[in-house]
Amino acid sequence: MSDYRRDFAAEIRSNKRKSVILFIGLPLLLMALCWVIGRTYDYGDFGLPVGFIVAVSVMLITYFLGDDIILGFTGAREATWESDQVLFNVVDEMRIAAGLPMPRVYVIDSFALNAFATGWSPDNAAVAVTRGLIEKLDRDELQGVIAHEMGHVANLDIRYALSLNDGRSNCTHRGRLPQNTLVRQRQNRPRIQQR
Amino acid sequence: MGFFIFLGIVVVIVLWVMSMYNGLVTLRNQVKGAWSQIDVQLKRRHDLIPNLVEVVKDYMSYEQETLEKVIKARNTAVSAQGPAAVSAAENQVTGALRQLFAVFENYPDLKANQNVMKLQEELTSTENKIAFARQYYNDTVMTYNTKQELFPANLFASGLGFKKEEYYQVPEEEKQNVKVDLR
Repeated sequence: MSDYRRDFAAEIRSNKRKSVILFIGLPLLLMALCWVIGRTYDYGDFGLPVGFIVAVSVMLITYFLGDDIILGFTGAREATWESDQVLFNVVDEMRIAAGLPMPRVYVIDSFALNAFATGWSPDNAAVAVTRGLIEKLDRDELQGVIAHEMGHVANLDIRYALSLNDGRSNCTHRGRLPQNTLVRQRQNRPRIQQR
Repeated sequence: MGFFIFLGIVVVIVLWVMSMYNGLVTLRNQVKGAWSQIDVQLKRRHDLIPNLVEVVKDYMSYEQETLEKVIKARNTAVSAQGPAAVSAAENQVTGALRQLFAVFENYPDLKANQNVMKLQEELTSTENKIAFARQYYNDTVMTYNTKQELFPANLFASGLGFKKEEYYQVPEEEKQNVKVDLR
């Protein structure tokens, strides 16, 4: 079945499922790795409890701090209505159109044209936009970009991306973000959006 | 044995009716919430208009008529009762505001005033929010109505007290083509 025939509900279900698999699977892999390393270097099964602690902390960090880590690495600062009226209004408009709660809004001081959404669920999502994007695009164009990001929030792509990164590739990948111009991390996205 | 099979079937049916009922209640509340979103934005517009008029009236002494039209439309909308009257009145407000913003172009001083620009952006945004809130309302109504009409939910829905909601309709006068006079 070709991907574009699937509806949104199916996409959301698939993202939820994949997120759970990745969220649990990747730390388990890490745990196994610790065990194997312990065995290799004659520590017996000592690697197993160590790996367990590592895995659990990775999960906790991803769940509670994942979005903050990403936002921190990109140097994003929280925007207010006073500082960025148009951006704030546009985000508000798009979240009304999508029937979602208002996400936190961030601005990244960079000339690059980029934007991303992050968070575990629509209730605690965040949308970040570069200063370059705000200055370069007119109101309608900005609305288009934000609509796209709200799509990631509604479809739970943000959760999928967080689970996939599990606090690791976040650091390498999202940290590099402002250098890419409007090219988003394609490997982080479900196939339907690539086309 | 037969009794247990019968019991199993009854339990499955009861569980299914329960989940359908809960789903419909959730949707009904979503429809209500979506409707109140529209009201929130309309209220916001009512609050913004006097501020804007207050700020621009010194600049626009020759446009008293346009300003009065905006205020009058706004006051009519505030006191309007019932969905049809509200809808008609709000459309008057939209039209009057558009006219006012068009006149803005003749006053460069206005464009230099930060306060005016902020208020204009706020009103433009509120205008958009009203439109998007209406669109979202219609989306939820569609989901709610469809869920009631689908078999086999349609056998139970009306019996359990669910009614189909009405869509927000664009008033007739707004459907007319815009006449552009280029002479």
